[in-house]
Amino acid sequence: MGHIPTSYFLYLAAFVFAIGLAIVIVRRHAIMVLMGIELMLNAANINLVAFSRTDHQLLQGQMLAIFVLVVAAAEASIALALIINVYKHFNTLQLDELNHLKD
Amino acid sequence: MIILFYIFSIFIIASSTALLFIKNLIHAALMLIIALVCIAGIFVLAGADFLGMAQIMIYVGGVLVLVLFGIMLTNRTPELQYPSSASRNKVFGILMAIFILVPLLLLIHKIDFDHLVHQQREVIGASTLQQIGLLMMTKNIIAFELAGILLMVALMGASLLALPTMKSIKK
Repeated sequence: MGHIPTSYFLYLAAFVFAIGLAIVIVRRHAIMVLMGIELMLNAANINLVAFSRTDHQLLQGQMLAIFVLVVAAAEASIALALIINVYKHFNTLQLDELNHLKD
Repeated sequence: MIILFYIFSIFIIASSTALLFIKNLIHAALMLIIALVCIAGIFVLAGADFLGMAQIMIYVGGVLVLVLFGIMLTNRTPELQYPSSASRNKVFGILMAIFILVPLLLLIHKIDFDHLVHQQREVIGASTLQQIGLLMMTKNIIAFELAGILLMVALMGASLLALPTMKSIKK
């Protein structure tokens, strides 16, 4: 029944954010990049919820986290519609091959 | 409680790190599902029970199902392989992640966050459901309405993007 210090949540959120960032940079498939973006958004949500633990009246951290969740869901749906259109046009989702604007 | 926190965070870090190296896309999506469910557990441990349930319903039940649909619809190999070709700039990516991670860790280590706090919401406290409902309708009503508009616009945009391309109707 221990009390979890706030810094533990922040350490976890920092790790998840860094790993999400590494996924976005390292992976070449568009859907993997989308997964990295979702991980970064979740890391921000962990931070918000950790700081909202002491805000008993207004729950501002949790309210912002709910809206981050909503925006992330909307953005993921648009991203997937775009990804499917890109696949229809280029027949590939490897980001290195989507270079038709290059000379 | 700390044991649960350690268990959840080990699962989260393990599955997120596995996402860096997994070649099969479906397996990657399943790893992300594990990570998101354990993050919902972390939310519950921090006293945000409604947010944890909303995370499971919306993220796992909505967004990740959509991602799985996207993976299956854009699969080129006829047999069920779902490959994603190897990454090229591994070192640079991990270096950038370390460059972000190390200052954050040092900063969190320096600050004493629990200094001014006398009472934090434990897990076995009151549920936040009623309070979130009241706050959403009074203090955060503007954001609530804007979120509704955003979702409607996203819905219209996604269906527009998913339409088959029509010929031009210029005369």
